[in-house]
Parts: sequence; structure tokens; C-alpha cells
Amino acid sequence: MRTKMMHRKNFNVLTVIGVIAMVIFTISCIYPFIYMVLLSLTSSNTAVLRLQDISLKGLSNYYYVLKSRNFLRSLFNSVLVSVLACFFNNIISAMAAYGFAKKRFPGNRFLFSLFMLTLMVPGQVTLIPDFLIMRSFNMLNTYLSLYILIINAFGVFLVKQFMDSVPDELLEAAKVDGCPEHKIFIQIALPLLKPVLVSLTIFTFVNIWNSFLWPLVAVTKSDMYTLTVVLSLLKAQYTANYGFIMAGATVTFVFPFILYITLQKQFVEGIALSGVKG
Amino acid sequence: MSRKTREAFEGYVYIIPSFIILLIFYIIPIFMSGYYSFTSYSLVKAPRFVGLRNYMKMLTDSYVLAAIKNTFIYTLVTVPFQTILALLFAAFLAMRFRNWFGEMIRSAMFIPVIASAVACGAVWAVLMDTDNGLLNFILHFFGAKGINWLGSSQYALISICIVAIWKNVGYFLVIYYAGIMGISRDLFEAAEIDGASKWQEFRLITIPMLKPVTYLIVTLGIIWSFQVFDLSYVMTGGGPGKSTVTLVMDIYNQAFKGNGKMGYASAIAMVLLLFIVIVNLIENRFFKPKEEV
Amino acid sequence: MKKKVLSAVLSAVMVMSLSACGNSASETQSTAASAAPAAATSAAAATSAAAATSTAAATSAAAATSAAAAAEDKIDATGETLTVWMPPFASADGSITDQAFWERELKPIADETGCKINVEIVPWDSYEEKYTTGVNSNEGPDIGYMYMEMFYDYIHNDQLEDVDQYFTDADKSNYLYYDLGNIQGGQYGLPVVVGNPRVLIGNMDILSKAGITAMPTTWDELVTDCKAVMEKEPDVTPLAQAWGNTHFGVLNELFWPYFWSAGASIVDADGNLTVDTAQGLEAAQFIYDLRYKDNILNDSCTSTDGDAALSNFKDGKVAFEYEATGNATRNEGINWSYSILAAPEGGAKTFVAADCLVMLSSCKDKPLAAKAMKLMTSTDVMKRFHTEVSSQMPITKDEEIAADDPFKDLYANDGDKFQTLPVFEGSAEFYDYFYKDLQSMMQGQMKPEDVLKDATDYYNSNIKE
Repeated sequence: MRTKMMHRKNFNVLTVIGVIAMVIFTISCIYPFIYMVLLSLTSSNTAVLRLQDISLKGLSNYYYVLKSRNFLRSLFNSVLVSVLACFFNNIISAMAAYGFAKKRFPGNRFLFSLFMLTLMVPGQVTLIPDFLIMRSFNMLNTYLSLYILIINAFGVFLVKQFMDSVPDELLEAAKVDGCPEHKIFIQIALPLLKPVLVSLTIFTFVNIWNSFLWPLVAVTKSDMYTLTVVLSLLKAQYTANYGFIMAGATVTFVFPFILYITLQKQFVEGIALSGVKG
Repeated sequence: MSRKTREAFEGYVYIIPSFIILLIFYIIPIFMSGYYSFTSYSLVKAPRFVGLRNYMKMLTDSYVLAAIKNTFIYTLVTVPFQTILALLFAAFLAMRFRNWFGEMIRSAMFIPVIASAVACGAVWAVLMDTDNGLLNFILHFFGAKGINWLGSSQYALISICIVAIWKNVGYFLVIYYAGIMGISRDLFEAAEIDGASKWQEFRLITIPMLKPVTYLIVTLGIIWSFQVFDLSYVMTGGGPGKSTVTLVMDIYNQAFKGNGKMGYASAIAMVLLLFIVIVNLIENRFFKPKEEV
Repeated sequence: MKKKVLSAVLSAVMVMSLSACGNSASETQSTAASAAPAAATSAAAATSAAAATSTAAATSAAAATSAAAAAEDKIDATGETLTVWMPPFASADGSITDQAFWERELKPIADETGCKINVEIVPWDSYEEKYTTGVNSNEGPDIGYMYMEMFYDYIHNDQLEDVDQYFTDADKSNYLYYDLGNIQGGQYGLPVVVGNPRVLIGNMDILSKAGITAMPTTWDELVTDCKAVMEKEPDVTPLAQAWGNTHFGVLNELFWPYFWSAGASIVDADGNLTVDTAQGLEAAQFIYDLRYKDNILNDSCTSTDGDAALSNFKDGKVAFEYEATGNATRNEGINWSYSILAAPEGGAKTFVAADCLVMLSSCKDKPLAAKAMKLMTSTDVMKRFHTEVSSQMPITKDEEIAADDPFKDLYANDGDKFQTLPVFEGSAEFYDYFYKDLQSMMQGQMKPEDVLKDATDYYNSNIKE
């Protein structure tokens, strides 16, 4: 009995410590972003946040960043690139996954292993050849160059995992009914894949929106900069003008954040489901 | 056309788009990288075969050696911390707070994950400002001396590690949490009947059952760590001195500054690839949990 | 049916994204053919004549003048795009942005010739990378802006145009520093921002509180004065140095003035590195001692970057710092004065910029570009540039130094104290490495002599081909 009491007490102390640690960590996860937004609304040149500095005048930081620093154009670029990336990654990954999972053809297993092998190679290793290839195709500074690299074996892998669980009979039945092949894919397979495609979309979006090294290399025209690149340039230029930098950071952050707030469950599920990042 | 050939044909049609992309942007480039690493190749001059010269040069290049050292330190600091923190938080939440509170905590911790490293770096650089930053303000408040977070070669790399851990915990937490939710409740109930404490449950059930997840998280963590670039590029630019130069930053600097030493940069990229392959092999060989599924 | 729609959408999006940014290079190419054939051919003739031999400069004088004349002529460049890359000079709170300034000033060219002007401001921190990737992938500008550290590679890769033929003797004689653009045997640059000399700026109010009435003129006086400030005004930073900067450009304030005044030079006439000398060591040791012997530079110097140092001075928190004159004039509300320091056994020397406009060889319509370069460096435009964007030394004879320019005397009398950076192989890479080593020195991880030796070794073994 006594030992049991001891246990409980110990346990409660542990719980309290745990809760405190967790709450502190949680605050540390949120506070920097609050700080970012508040500091972006001040016109001071200091990193110290003083409440009296916050005013609507600080909105001029946003005006400056969006207008003079090309953030508006970059915002457009980032959105367009993200949308294109999600669209093509979904379509192409779903097609390949369908092919691998539901079609028998010579080399199926070999090709799939080859696909998986490429997952081990990080984009940084192929950075230089990719740059050179794009250069020789005159593809630098195009939207295509910015989103095409997101299409990799990861999406195929993810969708195929899901596709494997779709019973063949469902597709066979349609075939027997004389449904043409492409209709089976579009009208039967794709709707079944909806949950996994939502995950893939979120995953693709977060990755492409936040990607930095590749756009930094592949884009030389300021009209084609994405938000991350233009933010890094802003930070490099106005190291001491925190209002500008924080306004830029806020613009970069706010899109994925809104999406996260509205699609929270899918976000977390998507990440947990995928488990691996490209 | 027979049914079989028709099916095979259809199969190829479905995989061909992704296959072409993978071929052009992933598979061929690996071989190109490998080839360039044995050449002297600037953006304006055609590749010229130089044998092992790039690799020999690397052995005495204090830049590259510093980059390798920093990348390893970064890995050794971030991976254990982010893994353990994520595991502890996940287990704790799963045991005590399967309610709105736990959900709120998990959601909040996930915010840094979705923010771009560039934005995080920009914000943390402000928080870590030596003279006016919030962190030093807090330290001063508790009577401690301020730390020159990003301005001293002693702390700069650690500061970046802290931000990286902060950014990654939420991600791994979610994976761990899902893993714990997947453990059969019967196991815990049986343990409770046997009078096991929560700590014992954690040690004897949760940790062993999560082995595959841990394996995944550690592998991922290491591979990500090897690829670190964004944070140190934005927060310190590799400085002060060479204290936060990383392998990927070195690839970038060699390849895209001055004349563009594509050959030399490719050799560094191959070293990076080698490290990643080695990590994969070691983990596969020694740590991969036996297939249970 | 659905498949058809899908494939149509697919191909449409693909095509759109491919062409979305406008493949302006090919556009320019096709339209350039029809534009101003006379001007183009005469320019081409001049180019080939000039390129034939290096002595051709004299013999092809006739052709050269015709090219120069052609640049004056009316050019019809409808449909062409002239891309201009400039660095940022305007301060964030200035009345006009760099982009807006150059777009406005280049508008007359657009109106006259019908071409489209595309101005891009390339931030300093990624400056060289942008030029490397841009120029080497045919996405570079027609007119660029380069500092001395950048020239060597571009000249040796034949990526810059010798612009001499586009300028008449009258043009040349109006430029004060035209010859500074003569680099590695050709007129590869047209000096545009010359000067911006780095001078030691002192806050006289702080100094007078510490009992100092005149600016120091030698290293020793600087040390004595700083110590006096530390004693009387403990809250003030005696000497600000921005070692927290990520780009080696700050060496122009932090190191080269001391280095040169000690009598050292970066390279010799044959392009061999000569930083590792007694004089070089004297300078490095002086900086090292400022931090570790005299404790004048404190911990925060390693985390302060250039902007922070400037704004600290502006806020009256700093007694001394080296600043570019263009920045110094922005210290409104501060009672400041300046000087150039001399080493114990050397003369007074300091860094001065000789940044040039350059014409890239890939430029399709060179007469048009030359015309734009002339406009950009014309007295009127430069006058406006100096008043609206950045206060600098005049570069043409017609422009007078403003009577109220605080550096009037300096520009007029101290020209012999100014030194530009040399052009040599791998200079930018060397500076980058050297700067990182110096940063390590300021962290106490390297000794001055090790810095000089290590950087020299690295240059000889890893940078120089």
C-alpha cells in the first residue's frame, strides 16, 4: 500500500514536470511567430519588441516589402509553382502507382526498385547536374524548372502503398463491363485514392513552398524569385531593419499557416501517414 | 494484341511520365555527378579529366574539412535531442492527455514544421541577437550573462542546432504519436493489472514497440542533418570564420561563386552521397528491426 | 472525352509554364535582326577590327569613331529588351528605391528607341553568385555593374566587352576616371561609382566629453582616444567593427585601410599574393591587439553586421567607426568629423571603390547598351544619383562637388591616399577565405601570423590554377 502511494506521488511530480516542460516548449513553438508578426508592425530598427512601437504605421513595412521588394510577384510565383507542383505530382505519381500496382509488365519489380533507389539520393547531390541539364535545355528561370524536381519516387511510393490495398476485383469488374482503360483510372481508381492524394498534396505543398536551395540556384531573374529566395535576399540586405525582415517572413509564413489551420487534421495525418520525406 | 501485351503496354504508358522525369533529373545526374567529380570543370570550360585530383585536394582543403566536421557535429547534436524529445512528449501526451489539451499541444508544436526554414532562420536570428535579442533578455532577467549566439564561433553552430531541433520535434512527435496509438491497448492494460508503473510501461512496452518508428526517425534525422543548408545560410552565412559552413553550403559555394568549380563541387557532392549511403548501410545491417509485418 | 480534356489541360499548363517568363533571349534575337541594320553592322565591323589585334586600337580609329558615332545615332530597337543589373545603394528609408531611380532615368532611352528596359537590383550578399549563374547560363544582363574583385574571371572567359570603341575622345575626356576601367589590357569597365572612400568617422560630442578635440590621424592616437572614451563614457562603444557581416566586402572598412597604410599590398605585379609580409602582419596584429590587448573591441564586434554598426553610430552609441563616405553623410543629427589613419611607419591610405558599368559580350544590341551606359553616367543622371540615392564623388568634369558636401576637401586634396583593390585570379574567392580566417582571428581561434600564412597557402594550393 505504502509503495503504491509513493508511486502515485512520484508520478504526480513527474506529471507536473512533464506538463511544465511541454508547455514551455509549446510556447517556444508559438511565440517566435507572434513575435514575428508584432515586430513586423513596428517601425523601429531594433530587435527589442516594445509595445508602444506597434502601430498601424508598421503596415508600411508590408507595403514596402510587397511593392518595392517584389514580394507580391514572388507570392504569385510561389502560389503558382505550388499549385502546379501539387497538380503534376498527384497526376504523375498516381499514374505510376497505378501502373506498378495494377498492371503486369516485364520489368515491373525492377523498375519499382530503381524508383525506390532514387529516394536515397538527396537533391543536393544532383543539384549541379540538374542545374547544368536545365541550363542546356534553356529551362532556367521557368516555372517548370521550379516544380519539376518535386516529382520524385516518394509520391509514387506513397500512392502505391495505398493502391495495393485497393482490391483488384473492383477494377476487374469495370473492365468486364467494357469500361475503357483510361476511364477505369480516372473514374474508379482516382476517386478511391482521394485520401492519399490529399496527403500527397499537402506534403508536396509544404515542401515546394519552403524549398530554398534549388530556387536559389535555378532563378536569376528577380521576376521569378519565390518567397523563400526573396526573403533571404531581404534579410541579407537589411540586416538591421527588423520591421522589413519580419514583414517578409510573415508573408512567407502566412500561406502555409492558414492552410494548416484550415486543414489541420489532413496535415497531421498526411505527415504521419507518409512517414518519410522526400 | 493479346490481353497480356495490352496490359503491359498500358502499364508502361502509366509509368512513363514519372520514369522520364526520374531518369533525367535523378538517375542520369548521379552518373554525371560521379563523372564530373573526376574532372576540372568550370561553367565556361568543358570538363577535363583530372583523375583523383579533386578528391586529393579535398583532403587538404580546410574549408571542406570544416564543413564535414560541422555537419557531423550538427548531426550528433540534433538527432539525439530531437528524437528523445519527440519520444518523451509523444509518450507523455499519449499516456496522460488524449484530450483537447494534448491535441492543442500537438498542433502548436507542428507549426514550426510547416514554416519555411528561411522564415524560421530570419525570426530566430532576431531572437538570438546578441545585444537586443529576446533570448539574451531572458538570460539577463535571470541574472545570467548574455550569450553571443550567432556571433561567436563557439556558439553559432549550437545555436543553429537549437533552431533545427525546435523545428523538427513537432514532425517526429506526430510520427511517434501515431506509432504509440498503433500499439495495442491490451498490452498496457495487462501491464497495469500487473501493477507496472507508468514509467515501467514506457520503458518496457512503449520503447520496444516503437523500435521500427525510432529506426525510421533516426535514419530520417541523420539524412536530413547531412543536407542542412537553409538555416545556416540564412542565419550565419557559414560564419563566423568557418564555424557553421556545412557540406551542402560548400557545394553551393564552390559551384556557384566565381568561375563555378563544378568538378570540385561534384566531388564534394559525391562525398555527401557516400556518407548517406554508409549511414543507410550501417542502419540496415545493424539496427533495422526484424520484419514483423 | 475526359482524357482529351485532361491532356489538353496538361499540355496547356506545360506550355504556359515553359513560356511564362518569356524567353526574351530568343525574342530579342529575332527582332534585333531587323533593328537598325546600319548601326549594327558598323559596330560589328569595329568589334572585329578591335578584336583582331591588341594594337588595333590605333589603326582602327576610324572604325571606332564610326561605332562611337553610331551609338549617338538614333537607334530603333522596338521590341528589344535591355536588361540592366545594378546593386542597391538607396537607403531603406530613402525617398526613392534603386529600381525606381534607374527605371526613371533609363526611360528616355526606352522612349527614343522603343526598347523595353528591364532593371534588376541584385542584393550585395548574393551578388557574385547571381552574376555567375546568370551570365553563365545566358540569363545575364546586357549592362552590369562590377567591382574590382569580379573582373578577372569574366575578362578571361571573354564574357565582357571592350567598350572603348563606343566612346569618343570628347566623351572620354569628360570622365574623370575613365582609365580606371582599363583592366587587364582592355577598357572592360566604365567607372561609375568611384570613391566612396572609407574614412574614420568620429562622434565629436562623445569625443569632447572624453576630452578629445580633434580626430586621430594615426593608429596610436586612435588607441589612446578609444581608451579615453572607454574611461569617460563606459556605455559607448569606442570603436565599432562589423565582423558579424557575412560578406567579405566589409574588409574594405575593417582591414584594407590598415593594411595599406602599413605599406602592404595584396598582390605583386605578377599576380602573386603578398599578404604574408611584415607589413601585412603589422596590420593584422594591430586589429588583433585592438581586441585582445587593448580590449577596445569587445565581444559584440563579432556579432555586429554592417547595418547594425551604421545604425548604432547614427543613434549616438559609437565613438569611432570606419564608414563609406556615402553612408557617413546619412548620419543626420550627429556631430561627426572624419580622418584617414596613418600607420606608425606608413602613410595614410584607405580603400576607395572603382566600381564599373560593364557590357556583357552576350549583349545583342551593343550600340544600344553603350548608349544606355552613356546616359547612366551622364552628368545629369549622376547628379541626381548623388543627391537622391547615394552621395558620391563626381565622376564627370561637368559635375561639381556640392558646396555643402562634407567631404569636399577630402575629394579635392586627398586623392593620393586612395587605393583600389587589385584585379587578380580568384580574388573574390581569396577575399572570402581570408575574411573567414580573420573572423576566426577575431574569435581568438587563430593568431594573426597564422591567418596570413593559412590564407596564402590556401590561395596557392586551392584557388590559383
